[in-house]
Amino acid sequence: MIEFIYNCFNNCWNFFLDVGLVHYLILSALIFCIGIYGVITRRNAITVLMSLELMFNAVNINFIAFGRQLGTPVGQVFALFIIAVAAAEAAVGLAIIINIYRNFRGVDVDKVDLLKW
Amino acid sequence: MLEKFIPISFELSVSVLAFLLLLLDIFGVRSKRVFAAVGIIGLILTLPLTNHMWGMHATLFGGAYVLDGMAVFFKVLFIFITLLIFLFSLDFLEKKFEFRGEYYSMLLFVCLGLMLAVSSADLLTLFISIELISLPLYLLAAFEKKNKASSEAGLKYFLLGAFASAIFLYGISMVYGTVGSTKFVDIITAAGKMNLYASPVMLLGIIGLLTGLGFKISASPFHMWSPDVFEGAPTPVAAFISVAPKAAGIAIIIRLFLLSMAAPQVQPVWVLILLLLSAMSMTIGNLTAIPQKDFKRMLAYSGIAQIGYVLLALAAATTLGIASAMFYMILYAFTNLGAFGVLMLVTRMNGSSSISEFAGLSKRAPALALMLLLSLLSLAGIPPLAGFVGKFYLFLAAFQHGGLLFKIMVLYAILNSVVSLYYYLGVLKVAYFDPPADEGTVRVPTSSGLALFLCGMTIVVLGILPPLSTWVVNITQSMGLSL
Amino acid sequence: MNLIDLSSMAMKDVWLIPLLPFLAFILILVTGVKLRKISSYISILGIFLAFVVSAGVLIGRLLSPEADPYQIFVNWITYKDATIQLGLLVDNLSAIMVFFITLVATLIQVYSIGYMDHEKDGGFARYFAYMSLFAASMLGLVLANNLFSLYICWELVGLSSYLLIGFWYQKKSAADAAKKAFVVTRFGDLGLLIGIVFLYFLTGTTNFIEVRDLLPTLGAVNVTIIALLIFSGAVGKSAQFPLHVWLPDAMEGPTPVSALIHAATMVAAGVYLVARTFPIFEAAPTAPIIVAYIGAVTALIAACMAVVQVDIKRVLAYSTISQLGYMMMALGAGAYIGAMAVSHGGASAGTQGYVAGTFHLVTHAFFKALLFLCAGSAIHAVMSNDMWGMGGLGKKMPVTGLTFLVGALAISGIPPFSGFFSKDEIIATMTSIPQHPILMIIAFLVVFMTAYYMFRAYYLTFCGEYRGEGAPHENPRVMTWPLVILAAITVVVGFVGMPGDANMFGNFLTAGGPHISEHVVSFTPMIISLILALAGISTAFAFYYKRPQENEALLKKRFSLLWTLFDKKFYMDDFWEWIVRNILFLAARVAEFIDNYFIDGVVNLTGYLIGAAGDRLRYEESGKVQQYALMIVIFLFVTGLGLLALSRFINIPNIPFGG
Repeated sequence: MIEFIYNCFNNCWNFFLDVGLVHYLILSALIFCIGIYGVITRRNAITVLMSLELMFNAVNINFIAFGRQLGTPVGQVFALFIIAVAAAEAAVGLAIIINIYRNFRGVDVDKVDLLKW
Repeated sequence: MLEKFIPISFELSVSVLAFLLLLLDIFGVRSKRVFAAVGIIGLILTLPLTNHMWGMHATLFGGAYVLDGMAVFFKVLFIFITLLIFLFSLDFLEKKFEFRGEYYSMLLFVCLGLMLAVSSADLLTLFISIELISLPLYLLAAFEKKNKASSEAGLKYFLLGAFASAIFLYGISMVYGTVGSTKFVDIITAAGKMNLYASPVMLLGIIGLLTGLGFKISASPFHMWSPDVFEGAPTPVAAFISVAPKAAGIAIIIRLFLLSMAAPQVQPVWVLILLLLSAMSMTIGNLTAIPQKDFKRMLAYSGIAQIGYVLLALAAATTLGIASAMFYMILYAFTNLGAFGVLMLVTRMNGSSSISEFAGLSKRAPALALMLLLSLLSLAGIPPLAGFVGKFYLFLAAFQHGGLLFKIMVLYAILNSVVSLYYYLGVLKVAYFDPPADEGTVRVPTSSGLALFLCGMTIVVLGILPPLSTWVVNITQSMGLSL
Repeated sequence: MNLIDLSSMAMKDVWLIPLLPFLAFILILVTGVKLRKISSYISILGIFLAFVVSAGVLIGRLLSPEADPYQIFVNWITYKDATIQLGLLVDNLSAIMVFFITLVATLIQVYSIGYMDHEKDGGFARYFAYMSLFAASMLGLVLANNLFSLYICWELVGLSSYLLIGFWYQKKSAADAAKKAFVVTRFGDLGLLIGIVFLYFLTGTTNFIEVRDLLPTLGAVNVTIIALLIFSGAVGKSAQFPLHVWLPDAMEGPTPVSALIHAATMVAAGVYLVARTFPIFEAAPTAPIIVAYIGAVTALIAACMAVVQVDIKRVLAYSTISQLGYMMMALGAGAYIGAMAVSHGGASAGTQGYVAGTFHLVTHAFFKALLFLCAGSAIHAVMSNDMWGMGGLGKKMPVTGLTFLVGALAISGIPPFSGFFSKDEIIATMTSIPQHPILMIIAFLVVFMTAYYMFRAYYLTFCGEYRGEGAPHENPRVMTWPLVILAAITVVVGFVGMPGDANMFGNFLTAGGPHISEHVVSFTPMIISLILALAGISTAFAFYYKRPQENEALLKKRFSLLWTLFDKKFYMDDFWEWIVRNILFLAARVAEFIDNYFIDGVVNLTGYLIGAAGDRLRYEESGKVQQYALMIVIFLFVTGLGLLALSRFINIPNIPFGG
């Protein structure tokens, strides 16, 4: 019993001691899930947009981590491209949200439901 | 020297054309007709380039870009789609929203993205070109700035599109991590050595990729944006969204899954997912289309169902499956554009897209009613129109797979096409038997008339001359596929 | 550029022949019905160019009659080994057919410009559009290289016939007649389709040439069944007994239509079909004699009915049926002789009947078209079909009268005219099968009756005093010129089919195949038939040249029983009506009951359930964008976990799909 607890503790300790690929993947998965949560629950369109950015950046962490692990530059290049595209995406998104603000007098995503059924 | 540019000459000329239109806007050209005319002439001028590319097999940019029979096939299809949309827009914009010059150039940028997407042989290129398709489309959907519905369509399309993009990217990162490269050629070799029991990361990769692509082709359950966006977006844009990204998505699925992940170690996974998507799309598309009152919404659901049929053939993962899906995408493009074109002409004046607008169309404009009849019956798969032949080949491809599950799915798909008749014929009943609310005849302008005539001819000719489908098989065989 | 080059060029472009009229049809359809004269010019240009190409093709075949048939085709539908072709076949038979069809069609379309002059704008263009459609499908029919292509054109021909019979659709009788024609021929078409499918099932091909080579492998019973099924199609289209009832009613269409479709070309399609599939009939032991007897019965009863008609077009209609029966009789008898020879180990010997039937088909097309156009000319002048309202038109309309006389002499079989030669061939065939004397007797009898009723019509219409109203006068030249041309052809065309070894037509038609059987030219039947024809003419002269009313009343009283029988069309219409009323309607009631209460119930229930499901699913689309995103996430979660679990329990490459 004591041995088991010791092993668990030891494993946990080693986990935090020896930061490697898996840590980055778990971190990115957490951030990605936080992003998804934000997209689904936040009412403010700007916050939703920020959550989307969170998702993109989570993917970036993935790429960098894999790239480092594999020793190829592809991961980093990919991350750079994602940053650029995410910026463009944000610009387009903000433009659309401004337009929504003008038409609906607000940026509450929940209230934008004229089109349905 | 110039020969080196031949494989990318379509992309070069379309981007030159797009920038030319932007310049025209900057230099103060205000006439829509000039924009459209330059675009149309430019697009027609690119078509002869096909001659140089036919039968070519080239790999460029360190393996990130490939030009083969399938790529040329889809590129020509995209040029035709863009051309038709230009022709329709010319008349539709006349009465609608205040004109801004970037409309046409954005359409051309989308076209550029579509062309790059079908040629991508690297996940990075693929991602960039998909974004190039998506970003202008978000803006085009929201193009009627003062219109609530249009801006709502833009917002929904954007939020869900970006969401799907992020998941797609996550999938790419997983594939990259497992394979160690983003090139399709490396995926092919790696897939043969994979062991999904030991490393299930690839499962996440496949699911993520299929989510992103499923969103583009509006397969259920990623379809929910499409009815709303179609209804809200300006009709020519909705027409464009209903065909072009779907064709590109199907092409990408063919290249990325059917050609690159054909190894038996991974194949069953995506085949299962495709079957699931196909079953859900057929069911939800056909059932929900029935109670629709809005023609654009109905077409959105019908498109979801049609994609379900195509995915079924793709799931069979055979050469016939690829060939039939390619053939179906041509006829689906022309048929759907025909239906949208009729809607545009009928509702040009008041902006509504309700099915009741068609009341008495056979008396107000017999030619338009005939065109509507042709396209809807073709979508329903009635012989001797193209839709029948297309569906026949799709179902044949799935049936030939031989698995019991596939046979059941084919049966289910056939039942679904029977159900689909209900709503297609419902529209035709309104067009042919209901008394017209408005007695005036519908004027058919030359450019739209020409576009509709092209659509109608294609529907009929592809229907009675299926040797063309053997031609599609030849294309796939020229790519070195013979399963 | 000499003749050979030109003709070989024409041969390569044979696909233009059906395509040109079809393009004309499309063009008229697209340009709308507003163009008045122009639509007729488009149509005539199309058919005329087709005629030019056909002439080139015919010349090409004439220059090298023994060359292999020329085929072009595309594989229309291919699935594994099964292929259905769309293709054209040019051999001597089809070269002759396209030549005379395009020639007659051109002349009739020119004539139609005058005849349809009274039509309103829309009707005029519609008429020419239909005519072009008909021409295209008829040419496709005769050029088809396999039975499937033929069947497609066969149905198209039926469709255009339907459209043209019901051309004046406002008139109830016209609409009814169109319906009747369509439905009655459908009986035969069904048999034809079954026959084609059966043949395809047995041999794997419907290509005429391949079928011919495969015939010996099929077995006599199968061939007989196929032959009879194919013949049933011919019975419907060529108005043979007992499906002949539609043709007289079809005269409700405009007269040029009757001339082109219901006399010269379409009704000949059945005869052509039998001629085209002649090897099948030759290989079937019992089928040919059935064909011959049905032809004989048709020829006889139609001739009887023609005797009592008062409507000039109906006289011609019954005469057409009768002549078609004559052709069938010849083909049947020919195939019978051939089959006998084959069963006795000899080579195919049925060529005489084959040549006779086909030759009569060609000559009949010319003189019957001529007769119809003359009748049309008279009708156009008098504005009535009733012969009792005509009379004496020969003086008022000399061209029409004279050309009608030429046609009447030709159909009666008076020497230098074409009918004499073709009829003589048929009678010679009949006399060469002494086992069936009835056929010969009927053949002679019909010669007498034909001469009699044709001249009855001639005397009533063109001789004596005018009995109608108004002052009829000769029609414009656009109508008379085609008459003159057709009359000229009628006079000379017979000489290409001189009896004996000098029969150019026969030699050409059978070139490359087994040589025409050496038959001695026997003058006895020729002289007998000539005497009978002259007797017929004289009888008609005696009764109808002077005081026709009194004489006809006398005849009616003397032969009242027969007269009524003929006049009531042997009660054939009533027979069919009885069948429809008592048997079909009963079946329909039973079916209706089952349909209403059982099938509809199931269908409605399914429909209701589907509709309800759709209504329910519709509200999943809530309009809230975040719910849409949630949907995606749920899918990801479920499939992710599901696949993960699956990969734990089943080795992924072994996932079965139930195969």
